[in-house]
Amino acid sequence: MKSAAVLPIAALSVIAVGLVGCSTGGAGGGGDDSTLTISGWSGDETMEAIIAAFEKDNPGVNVEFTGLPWPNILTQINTELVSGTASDVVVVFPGNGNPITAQTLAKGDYLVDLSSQPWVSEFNDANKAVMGADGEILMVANNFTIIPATYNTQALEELGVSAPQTWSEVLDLCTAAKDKGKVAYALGGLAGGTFHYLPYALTATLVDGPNPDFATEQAAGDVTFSDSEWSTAFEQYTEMLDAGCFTTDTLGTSLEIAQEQVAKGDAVGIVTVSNHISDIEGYAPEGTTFETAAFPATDDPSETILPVGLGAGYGVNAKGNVELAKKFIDFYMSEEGLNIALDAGSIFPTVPVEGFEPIPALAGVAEQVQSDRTAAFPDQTWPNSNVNQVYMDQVQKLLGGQTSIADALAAMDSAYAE
Amino acid sequence: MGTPALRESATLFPKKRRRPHRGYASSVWWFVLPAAVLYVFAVVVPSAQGSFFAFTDWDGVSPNPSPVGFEQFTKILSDPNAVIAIRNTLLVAIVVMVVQNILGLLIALGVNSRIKSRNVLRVLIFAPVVITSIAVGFLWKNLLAPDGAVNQGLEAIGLGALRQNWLGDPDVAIWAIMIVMIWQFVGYSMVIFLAGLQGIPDEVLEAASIDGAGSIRRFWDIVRPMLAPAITINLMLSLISGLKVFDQVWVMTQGGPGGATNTISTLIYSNAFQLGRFGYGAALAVVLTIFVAIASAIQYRLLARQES
Repeated sequence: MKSAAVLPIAALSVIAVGLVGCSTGGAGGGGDDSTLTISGWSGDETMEAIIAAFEKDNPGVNVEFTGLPWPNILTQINTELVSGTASDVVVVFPGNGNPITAQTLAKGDYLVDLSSQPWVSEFNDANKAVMGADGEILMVANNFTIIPATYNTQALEELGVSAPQTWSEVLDLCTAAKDKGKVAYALGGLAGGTFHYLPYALTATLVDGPNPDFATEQAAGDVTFSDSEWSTAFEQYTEMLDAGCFTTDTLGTSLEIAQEQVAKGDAVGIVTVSNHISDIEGYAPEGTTFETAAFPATDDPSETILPVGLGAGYGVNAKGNVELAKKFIDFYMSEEGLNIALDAGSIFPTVPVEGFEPIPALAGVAEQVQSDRTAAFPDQTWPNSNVNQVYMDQVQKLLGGQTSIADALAAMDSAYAE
Repeated sequence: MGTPALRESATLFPKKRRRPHRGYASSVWWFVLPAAVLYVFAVVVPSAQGSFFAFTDWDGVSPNPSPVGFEQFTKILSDPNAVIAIRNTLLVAIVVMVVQNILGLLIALGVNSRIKSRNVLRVLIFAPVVITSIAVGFLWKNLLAPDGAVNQGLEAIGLGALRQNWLGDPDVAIWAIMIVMIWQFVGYSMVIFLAGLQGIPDEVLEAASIDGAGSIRRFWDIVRPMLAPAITINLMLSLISGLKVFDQVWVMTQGGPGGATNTISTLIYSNAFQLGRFGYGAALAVVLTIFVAIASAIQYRLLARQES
């Protein structure tokens, strides 16, 4: 072969190899009927246990699990779904608010409608509303996330008080804690902290309690953040700040430091999601025990509403191995799957499970969850992700004294109207 | 080295300069082609696609984005977060560039001397450069916590009045992030200056000393001009990395508190990948690219003139 011909061929071969190496390999999924791919949370031992049981029940089926950390999970699953390379089963959040929520992904038909699956009838309408869009069910979660106030029992005993049941008792706890050189409520105000949960706890009682249709009315434009009890919730939040209820230098305090403060008894309590309880227990000295209660916003305990939302769950990739993926989701929601999840620890099942006993720390709110004196997290019904971002920014600004309550709520209204 | 006779013949009959083979020029292009195609495939096409989205309302999910003209760019000007991010980006780029290079040069001059521990110092000062920015961010996030090592250290040496809420105070947080960036990359500047300093012949400096030039005169009239290429490279690299800063900000504050430490890069990430505002994120990316290009071009021309 002449050298003049060899050069172009060699060059084109290199290009071809390079391009093949860069290609994505077409549609996602496991590639054959007996292989199922799942993208979930890294280190999710509960999911790994469910997968092992699923493989045992389905001989010949091979499940490949990819664990992804927060916040990469948001961008990776979103990008893979859009580019058609996602796993057969992927993590999906309920409602709106981030790139892999049911309602965000509904815009692109990336997920399979699961509304004919057997477990759907177990969910109430409020839950179904955030599990999909336009009457379709696009995800399911096996656990609730709760926002209780979690208290260090020994720290409460040291102060000689019990978990507050009224707003006045909250302020009394702040005074009692300060007198003993403690913090009443640990608050991680740094990004990724706990600062945004307490207003959710307050609005559950102040906004959703008196008006369970608030989210619907807001979507219709009949009510706004500014002209609602959200302003009272922010007033009470700043009242707690001014009363010295929170960690000093709260905006510089990370999630981990806030958790450590309550674990070690330097803080008496913390208002955060129930998923954090196991982390707090991990920081605590041996013998420390924790208890939970709904965080009150009024002086009538019967008015207190607990924020409870569907946790992150799973959906089925429309371009994946759909039948096997649906079979897995059914197993995930079966009694066997739910019991495996319960054995793994701190979850509150979204559907009734016979003989369910919550972990001791959650016993204080179990009755309230089961009797449905609850409200969904407000962010799950917000119409776009930016409302959540603006909310976070404004809460940090309130804590830093950089904005007024009226301006903060106006900014949230503006983001809601986008 | 040839014999005199051979050298003479070489002068008398100068070797005829060989003209390149007819196919030489085209074969060079064949060698360039694979890299050029890969570059177009991996850099030019995605960049063009990304820029295209800046003129759409794409949310990162919907299959058919609508064209919106320059709407995303006009939004930037009316977005208070974007204004803060642009201000922070320019502040970080300028402060980090100036301070990092002044410190890097001073350290390089120090460790270029004959002090005994110079090699140990060089390693210690360069060490943070090889740590990933994410790890550095996590490390300093803990050190700068309200009860972290920095505040405890200040208390311990009687400077408790300087104690700060480093990452929680909106007026202080961006400066704390800049300190971390300078701490991490001052060793990088030092190494480049050190290489430049070691290329300056001792005889030149010794001759200047004999002629009576003091240390400041020697630095200004001899060392500085001969370090010009190192200065150019250092200023360019630190300016560009300052304009693109993301990792340290994201790990330490995620742009908070209340958006006070956002930079253009963090805003691009949060808009495009967290808020589903891909078109707006792409428009911010185009703005950042223009900033980097203009700043680099101006700086390069100024420094090239100084070098010549």
